[in-house]
Amino acid sequence: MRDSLNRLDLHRRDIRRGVAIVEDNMNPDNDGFQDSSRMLSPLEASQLLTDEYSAKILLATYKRKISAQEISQRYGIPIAACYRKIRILEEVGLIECVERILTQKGKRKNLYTSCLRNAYIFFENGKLRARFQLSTGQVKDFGGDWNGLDLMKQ
Amino acid sequence: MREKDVSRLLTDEYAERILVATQSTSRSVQEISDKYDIPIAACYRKIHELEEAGFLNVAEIVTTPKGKTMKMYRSLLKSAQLVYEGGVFRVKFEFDIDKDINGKWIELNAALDS
Repeated sequence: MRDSLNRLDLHRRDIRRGVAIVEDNMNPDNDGFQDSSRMLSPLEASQLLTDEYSAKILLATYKRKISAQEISQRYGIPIAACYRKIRILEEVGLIECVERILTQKGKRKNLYTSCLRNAYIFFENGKLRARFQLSTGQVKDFGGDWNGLDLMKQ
Repeated sequence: MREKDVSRLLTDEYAERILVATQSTSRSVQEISDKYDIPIAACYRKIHELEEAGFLNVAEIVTTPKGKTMKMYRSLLKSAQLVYEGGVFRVKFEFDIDKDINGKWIELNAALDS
């Protein structure tokens, strides 16, 4: 069930973006950027975190399974914006749908959880760099050089 | 400046673009608006907010051939780091000038958690 859903979802994304998307677990040795987020600029990447709603959604889903409705109510995010941001975060792989439950009214409800373990956004000398570390161990870098050394300096 | 203000400024798509735009050269509001695709009214408003918070200042005032004066803004922010670890958002700013929040880590969770 879950698998077919995933495939459906991937298929939908393929159509929308008009590009082939390689599923990460098919190729564990890739550089971590074979999916849709490869197209993000450092500014777009950093705005995934600096956007107020996105930041709130990331906090809401941290080590927790939560529905869009609950996030919207708890954090005061308008429901349509909440769904939209969730979809964006899901597309770049920062959150994922881990469960689909049936509510008492018989409605399907997706439960999301954050896949983001650590994130670093550095703005220096007019250049923006972003690094996302996912719970899968995957690292996504945007812009500039990341040699890992500058992370130690903080 | 309080955490809530920092967080509000930072979690704003236009503020970030304006700071990137004015990093190496001073620019007019019109220029920033055109180049970074920010609606002009929002651009003025955001620039004034950033100026008040001390992230930007007017580097020079130029006169256009039409005789209009134009303020050129420049970012005072030398570097900024946003770190998310263990479910906690923190930011640190370094400015070209002396400021109370210079080099201090500021936690944003409380401001976001409401």
